[in-house]
Amino acid sequence: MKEIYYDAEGDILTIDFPRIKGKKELGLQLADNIVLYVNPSEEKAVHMIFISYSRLVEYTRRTPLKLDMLASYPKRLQRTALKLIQQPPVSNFLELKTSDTETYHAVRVKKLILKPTILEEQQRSTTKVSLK
Amino acid sequence: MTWPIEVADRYGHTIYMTEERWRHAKLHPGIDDSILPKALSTLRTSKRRLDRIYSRVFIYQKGFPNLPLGNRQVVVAVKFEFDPLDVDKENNFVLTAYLRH
Repeated sequence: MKEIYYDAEGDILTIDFPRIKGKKELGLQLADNIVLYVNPSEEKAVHMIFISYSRLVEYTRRTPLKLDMLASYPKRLQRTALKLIQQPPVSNFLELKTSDTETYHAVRVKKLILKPTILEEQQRSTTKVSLK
Repeated sequence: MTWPIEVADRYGHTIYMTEERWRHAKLHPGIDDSILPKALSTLRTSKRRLDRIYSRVFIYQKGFPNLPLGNRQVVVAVKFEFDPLDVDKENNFVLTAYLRH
């Protein structure tokens, strides 16, 4: 089961996907504010970070965010990232916007309903939430 | 270790990190207490770049060999503000840190 944490102080959304720990987990910086961690051999998403999450949602509602930092990685990792973005669970959080005329792929960040699930967690700035 | 930790970046800005923010960083893959000195070194020595979504956030990034899980760089996100009680005084603090390939 995935775990989602929203940090109100930093406006940071962190998603942890289930996996066997200890294997490679490469943090692919898709854009300034979005990091997708992948297990490259199994081609699985293991973790995601959104910095300035609520601003990302608003910004990308108007203008999809170009994944311009993805180009710095080897083609194989670029393909893995793009494949993962288009399928669950990553597609629950990102919507790929592609255009044949654009140099870069772009994404819209989906808005989540953030509902605290653990009372004691509400007292911390990092809140565990459920995806509705 | 005494919290909060204060460091000066290469531009002369004082930045502090609270234990609570470091706990947040440890939610991210490969971040544990052994990474803390590298995160502080990243703040002290690396160039910063402005977050394109939120102009109060700067990103510091530095490469290190042998980081966990196959990653290559430590990234620290810092929020720059002024103290609401003293507008001449900066209030710059670490939001989180993570590793990237």
